[in-house]
Amino acid sequence: MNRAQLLQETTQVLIKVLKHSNFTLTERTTAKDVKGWDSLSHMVIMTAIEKHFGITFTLIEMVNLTDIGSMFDILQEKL
Amino acid sequence: MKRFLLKSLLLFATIFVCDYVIGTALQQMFFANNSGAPGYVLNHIAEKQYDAYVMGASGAQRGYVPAVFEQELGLSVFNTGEAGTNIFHNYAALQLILQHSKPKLIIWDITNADYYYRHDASKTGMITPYHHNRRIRQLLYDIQPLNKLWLLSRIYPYNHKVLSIVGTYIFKPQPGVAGDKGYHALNEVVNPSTLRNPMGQFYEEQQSASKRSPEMAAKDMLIRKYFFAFIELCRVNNIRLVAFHCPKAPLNELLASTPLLSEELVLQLEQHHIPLYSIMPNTYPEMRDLNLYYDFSHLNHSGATVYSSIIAKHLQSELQDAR
Amino acid sequence: MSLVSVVYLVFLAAVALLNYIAPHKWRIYILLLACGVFYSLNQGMYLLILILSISVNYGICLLWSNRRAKVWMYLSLVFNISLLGFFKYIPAILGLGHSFDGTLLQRMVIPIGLSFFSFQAMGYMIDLYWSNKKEIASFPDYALFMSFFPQLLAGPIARGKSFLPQIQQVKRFEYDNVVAGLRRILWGIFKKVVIAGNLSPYTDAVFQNPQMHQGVTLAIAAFAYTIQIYMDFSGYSDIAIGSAKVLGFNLMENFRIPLFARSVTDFWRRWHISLSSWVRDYVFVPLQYQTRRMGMTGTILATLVTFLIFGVWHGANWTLVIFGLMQGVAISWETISSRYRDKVWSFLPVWLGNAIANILVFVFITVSAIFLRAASLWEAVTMFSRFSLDCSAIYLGSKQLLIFALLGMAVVLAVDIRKGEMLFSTYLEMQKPVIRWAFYILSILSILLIGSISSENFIYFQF
Repeated sequence: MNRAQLLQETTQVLIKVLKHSNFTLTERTTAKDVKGWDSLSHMVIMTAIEKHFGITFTLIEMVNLTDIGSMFDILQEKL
Repeated sequence: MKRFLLKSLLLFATIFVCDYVIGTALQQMFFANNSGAPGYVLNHIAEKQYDAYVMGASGAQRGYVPAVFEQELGLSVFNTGEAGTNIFHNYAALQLILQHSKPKLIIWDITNADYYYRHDASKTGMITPYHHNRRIRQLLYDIQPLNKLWLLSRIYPYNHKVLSIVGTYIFKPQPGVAGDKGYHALNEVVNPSTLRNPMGQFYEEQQSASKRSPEMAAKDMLIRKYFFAFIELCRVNNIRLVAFHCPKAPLNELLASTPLLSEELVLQLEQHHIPLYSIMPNTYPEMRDLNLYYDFSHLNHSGATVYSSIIAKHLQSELQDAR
Repeated sequence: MSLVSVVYLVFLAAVALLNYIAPHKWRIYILLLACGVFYSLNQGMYLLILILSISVNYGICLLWSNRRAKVWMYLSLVFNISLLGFFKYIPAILGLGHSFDGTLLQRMVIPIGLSFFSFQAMGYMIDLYWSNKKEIASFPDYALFMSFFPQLLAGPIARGKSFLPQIQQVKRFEYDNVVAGLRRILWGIFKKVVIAGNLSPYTDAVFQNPQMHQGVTLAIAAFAYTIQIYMDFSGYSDIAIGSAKVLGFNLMENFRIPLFARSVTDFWRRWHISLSSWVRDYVFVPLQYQTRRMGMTGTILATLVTFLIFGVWHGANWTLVIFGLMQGVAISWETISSRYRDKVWSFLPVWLGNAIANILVFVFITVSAIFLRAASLWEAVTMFSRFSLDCSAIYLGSKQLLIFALLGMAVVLAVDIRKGEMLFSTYLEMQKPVIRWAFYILSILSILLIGSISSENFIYFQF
């Protein structure tokens, strides 16, 4: 899956979980840039992404994520 | 670095000037009040002479009626009791009195707090305005060495007092603020059911004298220095010093019979030939009535009247013995 | 040595001077020595506990091998938690009263700052376990990270990632740093001495004898206590952060205008940030990861456990368990209901919604802070049972003190409103020089005039 596709599908997942689409996702986007993406909802979002792509993140992978791009690096590895 | 030092210097200079101006103004206003109202007792006795003084903390202020003493002893009496004070305040008061006269008698309401350091013993707000007196300054330095620094400020002696000083300066003291020559009557009667664990309070106070932590024991030395200095000051000036211990509300037999004075303190008084009267309700049945008490450790006005006349009797015989 | 004392300011000035005139490679040793002196001035031989903790924790780092990384991390956690348990929890759980002439166990006290430096050590170890690069700090750097004196007594709890890189940066005397630091210190002293110090006689009087008071008095005292602890702890944090700044170090901010929190969740992102973010990163996130398949239930479970630990961090007492759980329950509720609540708020004008939310959060925190303050469940229950709207016998203690505290509070609130999320020293920097100088002069004069100069320690030293 290429990164443009990843971006599109991730956006869909986010819209579903957060129930709003007031954001534009780029590789540089971080949780802070998206309304409703905070420490409490973080894991819910990540779990939805895991389910959608049918993979699992390890805890260490998760805590080292810095932005959407770094998540795609891991996704591409696993897909 | 240079800019920093220069600006700091400028700041300190400005602070110094402001401090001087405000501090001097506060000083003028503070010493203008010699009514003898609570907080200004020392101003009053530094100016007015009496034959005898009551000394102590709130127990003295609420329990010793100068009118009774004046009637029974024929001496003029002023009550210098101030809430929350201890022997430091007595010592300072005596120093100020000795500047103008030698009284005949000091009626000393004594508690363990005059011999054992309490956490609030270093609160010196009542004394700091008199730091110009050499001996009182030494006392302040002993209590808190940093006072050497703080007393460079002219505001600091009036720390926390600004509202009351300015307020009473503008709205002039009302007649009667000094109570009855420093005695302030309490009119309510104790309700034993609202007292918080009086026995716990009693045991705690009793034990605090026997169990001293190493830190507290070190601080006890300071308070004792002035305990003995006070006694010595009375001795060399030929002032008759008589100690009294006021009872707690006699809710049971134990409270009615046990003075809250440590054995060591009693022994020290004995060795220095200071007569001590513990007015315990079990030996003075007239003090048994709970209606004489305001709370666990204070008398109300009826109590103070009864108590003062008991004391006056003892004072009479003490003064006769002395003659 | 309290951070609000002339002795401390002289100490800080001396350390800063040495720090700036000594050759670069000596600096770390000067700072380490200063930390040792500072700790032993506070608690004498307990310095050995700090040294023990540093040595053992660093030893574990040295023995670290990637193959057994998990084992080493757990070993470190077990060590630090045992140390905390031994000093802080076992004596309290066994009900051993402190006594200066009892057994060794009774004579010992909690080493000051133990809860703070132990958490730093654990955070460092977990970061090491999680990070991709296994770089271990040099021993002097690590020791300074653990014992840096401005934050040693009560935080902010530092993270290795942000603190360690600052140590080796060459630090020359920089006017802006030093002045910014000193402003922060002055502001902190003002909060502590003029507000917290003047409130404490009142709150002590009521909280120590709740059965002597009734009606509205208890509510007033509870609100006063929330303000007191805010001023006390944020004032302490200002002094700690300011002192570090004077020495050229940036510490984590610990408070971000918490009175303007719009929810309890938001409050804990603004209050004692260094601890709340610590439990978020090292307790909540791993727990939530473990329970993530359970959806919302998992999040709530993780929240409750996290705040339980958060509460118990303050000490071994059922009141603190309740304090923590109350926060956990409130935050869980906010998580579940967030969408509905957003709808309700959207009916109100923004300013009104904010004001109501601020007040609700403040009331909730005040109610829960009763458990933080009360010495026992019995005391807390007494507080609640005696509360009523009866205004007939309001006890205010010394009204003068309350007026002083209110005046100070008004100043702090006004500054908080004006500066918003900005740092205090940055805010002051933007003002005209006249205003800056007025601030310096007025705050120093008000400390002399109405500050409670001889008051004791900060509330957070006990935790």
